[in-house]
Amino acid sequence: MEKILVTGGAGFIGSHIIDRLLKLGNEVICLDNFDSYYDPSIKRKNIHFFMENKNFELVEGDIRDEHLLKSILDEVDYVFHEAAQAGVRTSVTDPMKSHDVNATGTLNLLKAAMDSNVKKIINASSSSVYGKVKYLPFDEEHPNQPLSPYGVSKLLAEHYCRVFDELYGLKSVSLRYFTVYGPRMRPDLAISIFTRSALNNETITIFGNGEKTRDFTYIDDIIEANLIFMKKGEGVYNIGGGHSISINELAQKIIKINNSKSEVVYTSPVKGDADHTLASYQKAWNEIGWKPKIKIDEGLEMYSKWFINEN
Amino acid sequence: MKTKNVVVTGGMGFIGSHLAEKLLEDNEVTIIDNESTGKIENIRHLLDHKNLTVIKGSIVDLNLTEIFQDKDYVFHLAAIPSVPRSVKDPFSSNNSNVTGTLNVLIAAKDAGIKKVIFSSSSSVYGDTPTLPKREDMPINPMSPYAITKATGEMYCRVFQELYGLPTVSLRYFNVFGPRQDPNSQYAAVIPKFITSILNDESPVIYGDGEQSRDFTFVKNVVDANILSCESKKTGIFNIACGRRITINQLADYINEILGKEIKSIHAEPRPGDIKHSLADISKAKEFGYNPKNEFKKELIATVEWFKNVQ
Repeated sequence: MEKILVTGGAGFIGSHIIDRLLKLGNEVICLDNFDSYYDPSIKRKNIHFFMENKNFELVEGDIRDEHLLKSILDEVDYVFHEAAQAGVRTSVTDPMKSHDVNATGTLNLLKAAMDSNVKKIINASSSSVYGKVKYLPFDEEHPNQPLSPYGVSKLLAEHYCRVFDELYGLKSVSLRYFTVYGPRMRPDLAISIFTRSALNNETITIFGNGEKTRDFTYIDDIIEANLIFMKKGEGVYNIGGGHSISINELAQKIIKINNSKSEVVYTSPVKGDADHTLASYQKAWNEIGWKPKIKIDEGLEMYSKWFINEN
Repeated sequence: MKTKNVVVTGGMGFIGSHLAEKLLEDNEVTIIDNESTGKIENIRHLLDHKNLTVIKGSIVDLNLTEIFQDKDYVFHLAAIPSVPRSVKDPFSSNNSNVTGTLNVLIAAKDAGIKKVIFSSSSSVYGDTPTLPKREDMPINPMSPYAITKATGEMYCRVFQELYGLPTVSLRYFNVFGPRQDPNSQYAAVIPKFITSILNDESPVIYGDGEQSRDFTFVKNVVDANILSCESKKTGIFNIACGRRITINQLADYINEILGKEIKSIHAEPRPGDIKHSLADISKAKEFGYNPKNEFKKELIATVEWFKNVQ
């Protein structure tokens, strides 16, 4: 049994990590500021089931609060760092916010962890650190030319994790998630928006011409990776589904799975969005023994079932 | 550059003060500096110039959008310099160098600035063995300082792509010259060595002294700033001399100039420091940058200045 801090623990990925950690018998502290970027009541609901668990503790606060972090980290062994200002679009409108939370916030965490007995930080990074495509699939050696302030802030957080390891001996690993989806996913992401529209037979709106491709990764694969990387691996690793589909194909799949009559319409593309993402997971597989298991069709179906149950 | 209205952040600093001085010959100049490493002494001789405005304050806190109104260009040099300082205090480096730069870029975009010239650093290349360094090589920043500079460059590119703000990032290679601070515990090697040898004290060399640098005279950096601003070109450019000199050679040269034979002391290499540094400067030549290879002459000018201020 370990004592583990999950920052952003009430969010989509954070709450799934906590779920697994508790099931495995660990003590878990969830740190979350219930930021209003999307409806905080969704986050309350995400952790609702843990509240009665004696191994679970909720701390409402901000990763930018150095004193708070120091007091929490006192007896913590591992940190899953999921807290972030998500959203490429938000970062284009307000680049200071993503920098402040994602980079400065991570630096704050690293500093506090350095002065504690934390054994390792498992840092949630993003495929958006790649940006401009030189070749596909992205391996971890692919050049980093992020296209949005969000991508820059995530890359900076990775760099800080790396130098804290190199210079001060604080162990960390950065997991570059590729478009994560699944139950409890954020309401502002394509798959949740499309599924909601499809189930209501409402129009599905695609930004741009729908020919951008994404490597969608099911939440269970992400959680599996987090647990494995808790004890293994340092540096950066791609955590992706390893298959890419276009947004058009995605919309058609969701329409089909849900027997929907939704029509697809197109609107102007989003600034800062990458054209294509596709992960090579060879490094994680060769070095650590992790690879994705859930195929996109299977994942979309599981998500739809969950969605119907929830609503 | 003539009759322009420009801002120099970090204008009381070593490089910033030289740039402001040159720009003042034909332009209106506003200096922003919080005097954290910059010093009023560096611009005292410019203070009664009618075209100079000095604003004391931090790029992190000031209302830059207001200051940038009606300005043409921003030369962004304000930063916490020094690799070892960033290793000791990464938080301050992040605050000044990244948050500050982002603040400058946001204000420049909002105020309609025509171009931002960002001072970056050769340290973004890290310890990659390939020499000379070219701008299209993968970077490998090894210290918090280098990381903050690499990030500043990325924000410059992203701001150009997303919001249409033209930007240039200049990767300086070991700048030296008059007014460089020899006294800080994080001082650069040339002012430190000159001061030591002038005082008959042994200069301290970290490692065996065979590490090398592409030392760049401050006048060349000033030229690069102005030329790149006037040019239509944007993006990342190495600013150096295109040749390297070892630390042992440097100590010998300074002894020679001062007519002394002070022996160096060797200490452990510093964490985050790189072994060799040499630039390919052909890309900067595209906007007319063309430094002369006159290291000894530049070193003599620098030594002369240090003699006079002592």
